[in-house]
Amino acid sequence: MNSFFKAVAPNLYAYRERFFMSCGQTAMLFLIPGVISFVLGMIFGIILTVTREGGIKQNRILFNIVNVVINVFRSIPFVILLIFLIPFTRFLVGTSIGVRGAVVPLVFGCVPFFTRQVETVLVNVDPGKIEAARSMGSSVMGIIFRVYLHEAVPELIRVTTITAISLIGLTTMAGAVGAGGIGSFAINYGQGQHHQDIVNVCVIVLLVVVCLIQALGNFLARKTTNRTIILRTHSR
Amino acid sequence: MIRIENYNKTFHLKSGDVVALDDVSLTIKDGEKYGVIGYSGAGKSTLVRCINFLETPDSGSLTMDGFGTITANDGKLYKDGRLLSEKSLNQMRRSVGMIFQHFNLFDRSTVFDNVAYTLKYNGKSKEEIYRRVFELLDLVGLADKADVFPSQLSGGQKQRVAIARALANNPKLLLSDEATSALDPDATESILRLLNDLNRKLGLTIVIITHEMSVIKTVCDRVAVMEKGKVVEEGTVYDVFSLPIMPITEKFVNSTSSLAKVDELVRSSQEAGEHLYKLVFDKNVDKPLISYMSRNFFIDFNIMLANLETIGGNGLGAMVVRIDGDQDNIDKAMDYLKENNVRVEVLA
Repeated sequence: MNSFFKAVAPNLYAYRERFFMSCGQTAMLFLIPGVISFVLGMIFGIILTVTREGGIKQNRILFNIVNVVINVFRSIPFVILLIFLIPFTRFLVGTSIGVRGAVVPLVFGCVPFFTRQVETVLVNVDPGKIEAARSMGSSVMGIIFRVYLHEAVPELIRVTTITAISLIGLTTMAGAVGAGGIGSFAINYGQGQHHQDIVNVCVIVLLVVVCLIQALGNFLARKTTNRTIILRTHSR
Repeated sequence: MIRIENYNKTFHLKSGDVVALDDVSLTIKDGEKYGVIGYSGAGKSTLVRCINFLETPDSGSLTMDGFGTITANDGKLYKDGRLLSEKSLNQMRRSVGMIFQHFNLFDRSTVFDNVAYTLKYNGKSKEEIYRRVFELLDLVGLADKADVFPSQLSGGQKQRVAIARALANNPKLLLSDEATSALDPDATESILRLLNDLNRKLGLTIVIITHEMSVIKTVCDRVAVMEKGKVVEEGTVYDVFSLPIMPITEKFVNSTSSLAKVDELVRSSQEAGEHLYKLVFDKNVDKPLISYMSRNFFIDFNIMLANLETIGGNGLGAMVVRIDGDQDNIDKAMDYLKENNVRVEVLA
């Protein structure tokens, strides 16, 4: 096995420890901002849905604030956002480099994107269902959790998949400014030292990860759509 | 009893203001099946949505037994002089069921979970919820579908589930917003029959919004006809059918009657110089008048169009007849008809 790698990708084999470390860093860069962004994006997406005009808890001021902030951060290209946020990151987590320093810009880059996706999904939940829940005296929280989120689960899984994949893209860019990970490994040890085999393997690894995420997302979305599968039975 | 007083509602749209409710007042008695009919845009849907305040009227008040009076002012709701809290509004809504044209079931929940929606998170035990859900499903005849998803049901079955769901909290009042408009004739009939049964068995008050006169005719006790945000005519279904006053009401009445073709007939009779009469019978007429007249006044009746029906157990009908005979005799026959409570209109 080892000799196979030695033959196919000799440079990568030489730097294999660095490579595994980079993979670990990318995993952290993906998981930590991913979880934070998921929670924040959900919250902001819900806020935008319920506070909009005609929403179940209309609130023009809150809607406008969130809406504008999301728009501003969405329109800044990520590479610019990375350097723009350096002072803020330093203030918040004490450093602007490494995995710790990259979490902040990654969250800022990911949340607006995910928020918009969540918002679109939730706004598209059949208003008739919301109306039915309201007519049954359901509270705002009840409608959010038991109608909006519940009815939208397959769609939310789909947009989470899309966001996760784009987050992987962002992590490689963050690598370029000192966050480590596969991105910086490919640049510094691959492209920088003219080791094409390293670049190639990095591409393959990312490709496989993206495909796995997509496949998992599709599987879960299909599974939860579940309009014909009986989850449990009520026998009398 | 539900009393709506001076409801007003205007929608401010970009294309201009739309008056949906224009000083509407209604009283709906307990256990009554009350119909509201009108063309789309007449405001009937807004009216029913202002009963459970899915829509807030601009002004007016609603009095409901067991809940008191809610007053709307400036788009806000007040009760006993204080702003109505969301909590008590939700509490009020739980005592009013509502069903919709497109059923609005939760697609990702089974029939069981749909019906259990209001019962859950309400301090009820699992067994209690279980018992109640099957009680409701038995009531609508769908107990065998408890574990099925809505997408596997027919339209009529979906509406039955929606009815079961709406009745979960034992409401006294059920609002039906075009509930049969998306259903085929068979399903419509079975849903209407179910509504009738529920009214009888549970003493449920039902408000039915529709644009179909046939729905009003088969279910309702009383009816309000709406046009441009106003109630233009109101009364028992029988009275409105037998003697429509407003042109729009007549249009609705004619929509279920075979007399709609009368215009054509009148034109051709006028050209031919024939005598054409419209005779309207109501519940006070139960004699064999036609054959009697034929024998005694020596005139011949040719029935061109006829529409006879039973509304709430009472007969009602109208026919268009061509009469051949001596003019004196015809006049005498018409007088005789009028004496016997038949309304006579000379058409040609």
